[in-house]
Amino acid sequence: MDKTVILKLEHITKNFGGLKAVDDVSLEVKKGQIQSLIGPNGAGKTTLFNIITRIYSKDSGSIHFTNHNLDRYKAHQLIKMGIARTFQNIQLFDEMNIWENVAIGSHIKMSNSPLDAILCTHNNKKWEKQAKEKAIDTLRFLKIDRLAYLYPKEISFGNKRLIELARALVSDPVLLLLDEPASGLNESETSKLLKIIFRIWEKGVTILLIEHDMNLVMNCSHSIAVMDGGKKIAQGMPSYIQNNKKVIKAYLGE
Amino acid sequence: MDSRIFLAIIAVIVAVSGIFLNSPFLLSMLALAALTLIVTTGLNLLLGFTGQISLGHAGFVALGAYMSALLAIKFSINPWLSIFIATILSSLIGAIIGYPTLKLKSHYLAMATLAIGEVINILIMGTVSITGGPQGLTAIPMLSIFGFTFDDDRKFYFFAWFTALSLLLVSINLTKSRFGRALQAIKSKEIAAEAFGINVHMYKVIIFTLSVSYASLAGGLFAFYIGFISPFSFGILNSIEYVVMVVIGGMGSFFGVLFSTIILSILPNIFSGLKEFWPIADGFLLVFAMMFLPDGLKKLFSWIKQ
Ligand SMILES: Nc1ncnc2c1ncn2[C@@H]1O[C@H](COP(=O)(O)OP(=O)(O)OP(=O)(O)O)[C@@H](O)[C@H]1O
Ligand SMILES: [Mg+2]
Repeated sequence: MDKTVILKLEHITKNFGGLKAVDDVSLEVKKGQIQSLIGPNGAGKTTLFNIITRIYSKDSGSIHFTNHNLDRYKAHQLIKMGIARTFQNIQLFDEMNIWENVAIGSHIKMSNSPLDAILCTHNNKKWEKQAKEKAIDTLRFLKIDRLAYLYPKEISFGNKRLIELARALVSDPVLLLLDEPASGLNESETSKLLKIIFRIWEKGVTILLIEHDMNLVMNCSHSIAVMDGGKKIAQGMPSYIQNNKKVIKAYLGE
Repeated sequence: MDSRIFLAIIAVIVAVSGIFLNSPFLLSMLALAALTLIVTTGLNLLLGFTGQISLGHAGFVALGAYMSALLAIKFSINPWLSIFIATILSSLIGAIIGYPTLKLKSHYLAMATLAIGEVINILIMGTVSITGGPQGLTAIPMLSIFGFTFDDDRKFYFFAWFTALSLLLVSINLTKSRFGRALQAIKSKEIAAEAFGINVHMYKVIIFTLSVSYASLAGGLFAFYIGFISPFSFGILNSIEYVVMVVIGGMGSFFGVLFSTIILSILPNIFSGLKEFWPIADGFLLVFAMMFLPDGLKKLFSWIKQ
């Protein structure tokens, strides 16, 4: 397996007013691995995702994706480089049906122009058909293609989580950032999710996973990083993390 | 049913009405409704699809009307070319205005666009030597092409509706593609849209500019049809009326907005004795629609289309 580093965070710091949400965090994600990020509520995990995806600016530190310094890119340019994400608080587009929601993930890969659209050109039809097919194929991959024509408000919470995932997958990501994909899922949904995560990983996608479900994390991660109070307090293989004193203390309190 | 088939049916109804209606009053009223439809279709792209408000669109209609009329009168430029140039210039102005203002969030954007509409109006009122100020601008030539002059209401009715429905088709086609999905994504979740590669600010500016060009074009056609323009046709109340039409029509529903535009354009003319009260009625309609018809006429049309 290729073990080169695909994402490299160095000394990332982010303050909200007086609060150090992320405090000098460094992290390397290796290509082709499932790297997890765990930690108690408010540890700064989502904030770190928002910094990587350029939604928040950082106060200091640097981020490299392969050999690109992400400081030089805007949020909307990352998907083209192969970085896709899901959101902890589900962010589906309410006024579009499910396949249209998912197709947003291929927006930048399509090359029909506005003029193509206005004139209904052959090129337009070709790309639009392809985008729809790809969205539905991705839904099929997740075994939820029957939802294609429903609207977000008409589907269950667990399925909404999967749609979030489908939308990211459709962009053919190199690096997939998942923010608590199992939160709110029941046990059977979570075990399905575990299988899905493996199937995505098998396709060669590198995954950075934030998750509270320890069972899921321990079962799928190659490496686990632990954050608490903005700081990274430990990193290692699941077996190491499970027995790490600092980690146990962070989770159990004093 | 496909929206385009629906549009074709409407085109047939419009054509048949144009042939059989004999009242110049009705024809003229409907022709003006078509011009208003151009404005509201553009505003629907901005407000209904992208979720960005403009309370100053009457100002952009005025820009189109005054610039094209002045180009034709003062520089003797062919009216069609005047309209074309005015539309390009207004779009440019729209883009320059839109760039900073579309960084603002909802109610700040509402205030900024309201102010812009008023500034345009005040400028027109103030530059009396050029625009005629409150007296208005008269002796605007008529539109003609290859010796065919749009000198009666029926001719202009057909022309106005042809233009309005063509732009409606353009808008429908545009929104039935990845661009429409991008706009709706911006409307519901800006951050997620951005994360999926949509340059949110750029899209907003482009759609704003497009809607300004629709407004300006309608203004230009209005000037050459009526032959007289004054700042009183392009005030804040007109801007609000456009918004009311889009909201009542059901934001993002082209056919809902088509019908609300026709109905709300015609009603004040039928109850012409109550003209002073119309703005008040508009206000009530808006509140009523927001409270009881959050989707406007949209539901009705998705039902008819099925
Ligand atoms: N936009 C913001 N403005 C101010 N404070 C914020 C903002 N976003 C996050 N925070 C704060 O930063 C800290 C870290 O939050 P973050 O959402 O990153 O935690 P988390 O590890 O993802 O927690 P959870 O497991 O609950 O999702 C929290 O104290 C939070 O209140
Ligand atoms: Mg979080």
